Amino acid sequence: MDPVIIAAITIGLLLILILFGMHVGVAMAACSAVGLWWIKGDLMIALKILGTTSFRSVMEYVFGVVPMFIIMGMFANLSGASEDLYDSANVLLGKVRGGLGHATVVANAIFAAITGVSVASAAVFSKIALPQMRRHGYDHKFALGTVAGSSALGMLIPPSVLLIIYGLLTEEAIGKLFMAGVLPGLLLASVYCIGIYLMVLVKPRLGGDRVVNRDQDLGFKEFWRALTKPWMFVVLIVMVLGGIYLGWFTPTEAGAVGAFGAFVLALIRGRVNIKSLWNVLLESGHTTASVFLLLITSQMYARMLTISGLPSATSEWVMTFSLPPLVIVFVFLFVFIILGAIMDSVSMLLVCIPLMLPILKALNLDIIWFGVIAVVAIEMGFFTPPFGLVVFAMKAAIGDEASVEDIFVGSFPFLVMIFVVLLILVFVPALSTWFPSLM
Amino acid sequence: MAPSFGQRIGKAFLKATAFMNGIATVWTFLIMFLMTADVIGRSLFQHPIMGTAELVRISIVGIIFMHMPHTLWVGRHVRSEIILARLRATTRETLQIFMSIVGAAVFAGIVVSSWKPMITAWRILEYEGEGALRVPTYPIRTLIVVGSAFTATIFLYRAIEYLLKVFRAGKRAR
Repeated sequence: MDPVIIAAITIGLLLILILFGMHVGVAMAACSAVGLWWIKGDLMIALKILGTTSFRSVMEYVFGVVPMFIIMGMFANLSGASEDLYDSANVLLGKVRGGLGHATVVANAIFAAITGVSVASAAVFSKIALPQMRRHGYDHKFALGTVAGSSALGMLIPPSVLLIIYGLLTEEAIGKLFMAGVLPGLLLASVYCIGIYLMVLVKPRLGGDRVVNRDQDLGFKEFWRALTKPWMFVVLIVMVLGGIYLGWFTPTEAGAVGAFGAFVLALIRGRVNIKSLWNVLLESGHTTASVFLLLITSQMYARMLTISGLPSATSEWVMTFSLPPLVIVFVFLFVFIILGAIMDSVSMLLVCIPLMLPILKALNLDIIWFGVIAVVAIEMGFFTPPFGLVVFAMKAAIGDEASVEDIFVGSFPFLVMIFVVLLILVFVPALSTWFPSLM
Repeated sequence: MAPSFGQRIGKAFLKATAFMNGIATVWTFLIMFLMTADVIGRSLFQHPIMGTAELVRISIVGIIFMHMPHTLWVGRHVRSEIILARLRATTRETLQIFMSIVGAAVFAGIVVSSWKPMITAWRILEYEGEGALRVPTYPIRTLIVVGSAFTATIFLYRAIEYLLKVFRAGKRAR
């Protein structure tokens, strides 16, 4: 049989296996091995790829970036960064229309610069921001939506685990991808703030019984103290991202320095004891291992695809239609949004990018720009029924106080806002490409 | 009741899994310090720590495969259980048997195909890199084999567990 057809069948099989709950890494390894066996007619060749990719595929210095940024996020969490940031944003914005909503967005945007995972932010801010908003009489669904929506900032604002994975897959510089996410992240945060302001303006009920938050009337001293409480985290963020931007250190080293810094901050805050330290490291270890199983097996899958010739065949086939590049980009984004319903974001990138990359290159599209819009499209899948990942993470964090339906309904306006931002980013590539081009 | 031989083996196996995981955890933490020290040494004292990049590069693979079995044991490898959770119990467990066997086969495949290179690496004391920064590869190759063998064993154990479940449920139904 034609290797191209075999590879196509293998991809179908892969999606079915993942859908029915096989470990994604196992499914990718098994499908690649079976595909190769079928193509080459030799089991030993298929087996060999398991061994060589296990040893070779992640043995690069740059892969150290993954565990380091994961540890950094975990330590930042331990040190209580999110509470401090929320309090600080709160004294600053509490008096604006829908102030607690704005505070959630701003605190999330800054917290996103220390952590790279959306789901983590959603769980953390469910515990910090929701009780506050409830106390001030904010509409329940509106509050849930604000928290869910703001967590999308985590994947866009550097360091972002998704952008790191995208960089490793496409061999684009991770430092550049990080910088590419900055302006889109700020744009999304601004659109959220505008959206929240308008929503509360039209329907004051959403923003609580008192639109103006009187109990935020602090003396100047208290105001200043609460505002500047998270200064150490801001220093850490500036150091890590600034260091990458100025080329002081590689992203991998930045991750290590950031992790070390976050560890020191947690120490200063007195949050570190043997037990909490061990838990943080253990948790990071498991997360790292699960990401790397995906990374290693995706290399097997990519190798199988290359040998089959499917990516170049698809690329040639797509080119024969001579469609406008934007149409193809929108098809790809649509694929991400749909797949987001059944797969986690990292697996989705690993499965799709090997097939999409040759086409993007043939169309001369900017790979960094596509990375940013891909991440935004993937984020949309986090809030879409039936399987939105962030929604379920929040549900797990708050328990019986909210139904899954409430969270989906509440986050719908934010889904619309993300979509608007996605369109802006597609049509104004400079927002993603200008900043990294300065490096 | 005194633990049976099988239970003792099982306990020792789990301890070894957790131990490997712990070593990998400490190893990662040390690497964090090493890289930070390298950056500080380089930028403040013009004195980098030689070989940091090489050590980081080769460590990652070892760390990953030491984490691998425990990560599976605690259920942290990525899978989407949304459909699985909605299936009938027997269907679900039958699927689980199948998927665990595939998992065991994949990791057994890694063991089989990494075995010969590992033996060769030990025999010729294979290394990577140049000059003073030669890093031996045989410890890493060994960790891949050991970690994968443990992971395959856990998958196999799960397969048997689900098999017994289905079997017992069948018996009850009759």
